[in-house]
Amino acid sequence: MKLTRRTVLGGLAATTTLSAPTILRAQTRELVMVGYGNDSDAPLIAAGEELGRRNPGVTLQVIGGLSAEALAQIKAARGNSPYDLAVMGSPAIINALAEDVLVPLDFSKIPNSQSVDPKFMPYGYDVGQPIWFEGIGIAYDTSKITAPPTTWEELWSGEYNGRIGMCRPQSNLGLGVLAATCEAFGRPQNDMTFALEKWLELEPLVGRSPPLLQQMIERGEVDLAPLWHVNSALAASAGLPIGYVKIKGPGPLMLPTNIVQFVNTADGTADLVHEFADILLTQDIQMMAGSAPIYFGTVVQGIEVSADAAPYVPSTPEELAETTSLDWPSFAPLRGNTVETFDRMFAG
Amino acid sequence: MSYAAILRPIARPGLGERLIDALLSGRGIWPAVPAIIVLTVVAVIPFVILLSLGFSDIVVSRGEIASQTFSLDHLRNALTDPLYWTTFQRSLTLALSTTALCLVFGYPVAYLFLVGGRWTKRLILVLTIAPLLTSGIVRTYAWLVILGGRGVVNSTLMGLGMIDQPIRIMNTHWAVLIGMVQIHLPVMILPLIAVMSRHDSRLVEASENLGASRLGTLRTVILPLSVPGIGTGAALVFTLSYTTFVVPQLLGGGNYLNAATMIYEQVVYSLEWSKGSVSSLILMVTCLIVLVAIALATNHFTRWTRGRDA
Repeated sequence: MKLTRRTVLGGLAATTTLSAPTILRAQTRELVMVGYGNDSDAPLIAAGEELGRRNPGVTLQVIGGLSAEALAQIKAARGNSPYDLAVMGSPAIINALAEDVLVPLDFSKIPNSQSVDPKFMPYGYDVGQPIWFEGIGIAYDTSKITAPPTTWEELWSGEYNGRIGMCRPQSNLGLGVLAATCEAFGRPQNDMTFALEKWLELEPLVGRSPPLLQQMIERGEVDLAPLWHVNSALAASAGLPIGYVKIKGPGPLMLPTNIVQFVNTADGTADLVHEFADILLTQDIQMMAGSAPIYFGTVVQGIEVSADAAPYVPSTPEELAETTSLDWPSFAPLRGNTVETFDRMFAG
Repeated sequence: MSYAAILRPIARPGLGERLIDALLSGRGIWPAVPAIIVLTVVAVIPFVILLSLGFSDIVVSRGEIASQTFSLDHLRNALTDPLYWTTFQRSLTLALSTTALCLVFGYPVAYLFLVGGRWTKRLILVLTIAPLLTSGIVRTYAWLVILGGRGVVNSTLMGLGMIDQPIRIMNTHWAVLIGMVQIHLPVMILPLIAVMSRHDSRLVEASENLGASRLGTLRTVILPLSVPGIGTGAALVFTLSYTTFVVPQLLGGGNYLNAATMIYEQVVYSLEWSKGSVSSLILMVTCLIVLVAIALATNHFTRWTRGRDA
């Protein structure tokens, strides 16, 4: 073949066209994370967009799902995690550590971590960065209950037998409520059999997950139930007659949510995960997370709780001082046994 | 053109052509080879791996299995645990009840299809197939709306003054049974229609000409001839009902436990895969036992029918 200027230019154009997708792919990076799968993903998506602005070509894909399901998928993939990072509650971190699928974060690479209230940091268990928290309280149907219980112990007054809902202990909510029950009656938080026996006295209707429990209140199947404040706020924002109590003794109870990084992520991903966690702790994202309709509790010092979030999130100095969490490491590893005990006692 | 050119030997076919020829010949297992390969890769191998977990103690490191030692403890524990017996008994009862009810409700529809006119047949086919075009989850959620405390059933009963307070249907065994029967009814009707519409209609005419009543014809001619359809439908409905996950999950509430939901929780929430593996094994073996029983019964009654025909 005779080489002319036309054939050389044509060849160059063809080569460029054919290699363009490869070049573009090399310049784009995608972080895949496990999120919530509902409105609560909004601050995560916003932080992902900011990460993309700072690092052209980087995108964040938020996949809704339970952290427990993500752990099962990673276990099925024999450690080849399909996810780079996740939002994960403290008890799920304990389970993930037992499965050895987390890479500890380097907090020196998250400058905004310095502004996090020190009382939240232990709940990342040295591997995760707390970013916000959810409260456990009592959601109730305002058309049926005018004076809701204010302490855990009041639930056993006899007034709520057969009217109350509870969540299966496979969920963090269900497990946390059982530990709170132990605490309320002066027992060690890991005395799960005692807590289940106490709940059996209440003749509860059981929800398989917090969203399904929320739906049971909405459909009028139960009058009240322990629930995340986020679920209660979402139901109330839809115009439903649902109120929420920041129940005490113990409480107000909170469960920090953390950013965690999974094993087997590609080179360079770790830096992006740290930068993403840092963005989540900025004032803008924290304010967004703390606003309607989700009202996540902020872990960053100096951010005021808005007036419309006050019914759901500890806001007064007294409430903030009393806000506490549970001794998750003492009972989170008992999840499997507790679910079995629950089924022996409740299944029918 | 010379004869030599015309009569030249046919070229020997290539490997690809010979392979396709073998596949199309219908001899031996060749036609099933592609399906066997796919099933081996996507079903048999993963299932063997899963089952191997039920017979071993596992140590995990960095998400990977670091060591695996043979153990029968998980199987022994499951077989001596009352929770397993209760759960599998509940699943079996539910599946058999669903199968029986689907047959009771489905057979008249198939009979109507057999004796009905052209438009009746079309209507039955549309009504039977239409639900299959939507997701089972959507159909199950519809029952949440119908059976709930503020649902159609309770509202109607209260509107008619028959009850003062909503009755609890949701989150009970009955809600699960109602949902299962509705979801699986088409799976019973379709095989019945397929078998019954294949019969020679002159047999029915002959029966009536010989003085048999409609009921007598149904009992002595149509019913015996439809036994293979009953067997197929029962096997399909039983398998789907026994291994169902979505309906008990959504309609049964948090304290309704069947075999499939138990396995899901063992694998996903408790991360106890050895237990999940053993439960899966028990589910599969018990399901196979019932299927063999259905097949034997179908075979027995079909042979009886043939004997009468002869």
